[in-house]
Amino acid sequence: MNDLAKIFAKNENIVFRQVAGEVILVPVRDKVADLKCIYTLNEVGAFVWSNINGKRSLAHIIDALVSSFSVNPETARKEVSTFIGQLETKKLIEEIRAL
Amino acid sequence: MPCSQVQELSYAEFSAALHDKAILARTPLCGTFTLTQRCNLHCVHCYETTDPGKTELNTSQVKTILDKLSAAGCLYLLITGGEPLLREDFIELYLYAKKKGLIVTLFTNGTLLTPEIADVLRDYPPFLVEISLYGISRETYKAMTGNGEALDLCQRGIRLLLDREIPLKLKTMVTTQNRPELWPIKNYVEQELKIDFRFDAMIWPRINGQKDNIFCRLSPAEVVQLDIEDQKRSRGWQEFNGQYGQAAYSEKLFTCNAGKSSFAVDSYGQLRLCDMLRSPSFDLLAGSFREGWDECFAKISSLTRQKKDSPCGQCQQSAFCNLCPAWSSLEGGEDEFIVDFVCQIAQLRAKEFGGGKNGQKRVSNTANKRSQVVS
Repeated sequence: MNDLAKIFAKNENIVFRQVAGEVILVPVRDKVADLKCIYTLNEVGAFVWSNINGKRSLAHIIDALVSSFSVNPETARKEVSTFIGQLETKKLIEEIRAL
Repeated sequence: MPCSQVQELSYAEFSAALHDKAILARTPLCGTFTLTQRCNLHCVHCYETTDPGKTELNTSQVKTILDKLSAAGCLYLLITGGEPLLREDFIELYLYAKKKGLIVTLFTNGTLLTPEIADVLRDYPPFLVEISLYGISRETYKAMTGNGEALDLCQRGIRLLLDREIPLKLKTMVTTQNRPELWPIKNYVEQELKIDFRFDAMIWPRINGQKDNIFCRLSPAEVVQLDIEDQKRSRGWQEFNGQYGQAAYSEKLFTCNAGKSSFAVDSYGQLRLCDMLRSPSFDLLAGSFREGWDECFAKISSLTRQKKDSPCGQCQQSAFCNLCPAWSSLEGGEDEFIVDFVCQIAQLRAKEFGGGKNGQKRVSNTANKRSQVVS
């Protein structure tokens, strides 16, 4: 299976907030304090998150990242792959279709 | 390219850093939204009043304001009243706030909690619910709220939340009516219910300036005696003294975070620095949050005290003093009015917990550090 063809959708119970210079993922259905953690994203993470929309493939997102940041395609592929893996593990996104 | 990793922070680390950033950037991070000023109880100490000449915000208007404050950068929202559960649209508004990505705390008297509401709070957890428990006997509860039977409803509400493991803390205001029952309430909450408890004896005048509620205040000596008798409180003041006890008198009029990172909205849509400071205010239905935040409040942090002959300027106990322009205005009609009740408590706390040898000269947001001692 070609991983780059995977398409992900955001967990609809996670809200993306930009507050005081921080990019934050706020869980709607989990206990923020009890979880002992809250998720923050850096600039690149926020860019990738904003491109996850249930339609764009990872290949598409990597292309967009290469166009917007000074990064070579191989590095971008590794970064996006790692990042997507983290988001998926934490159930912040889910795969909706693999072509 | 920077590494695109998800940073997983402890909540405490995240919150402390974000508050610091918000103050520097003057981001309205923390809001209090009084959804209604009506209440089903009639507590002796209550500062809240309704305005018969105004119409409470409807559902759509509340949602519009939630949109505005969220867009302006609010993350932490305290929903309070009056009694917010009196609103028939409470669940709709609560879920709307949650789905905006607001981290919601709810203040309630607990008497109107139902299994339906508790289920919603279980499925969409608040950061915290705080229920006021004014007594554990019907006599005391009636003396405080006017309705002794409502104690059963309050306790039912507490149980509904505990059964669903919803984050919950209990608290009480302390007045001459329930002072004899304070420690039994605390023991009941901490030993039997096994949840956190806090109390507050600082009774404010009403927000319309009337003082018909302050008859129920304890004396300043009785207030400080509670600090002495409560181990956690006593330890808190000692630690506070160690760090801030010798903090110099500040020329700044406002020493808290109001207007820097915090704000309040009342049930008629008026934006204010805090619940208690009635002026300035801005109608959020008539303009954007940013207009109100910038036009009305931007200069607040630079305001200085004007009464150069005020004895406060010579006071050595200012670190222990809770007096602020809101309290002065409500009790004396002007920003720098000295409220004897507050002043005497500061003097007594400094005498009991202060001490030049241990105190350090640090001037750093003592208003918020003081509030942490009693929270």
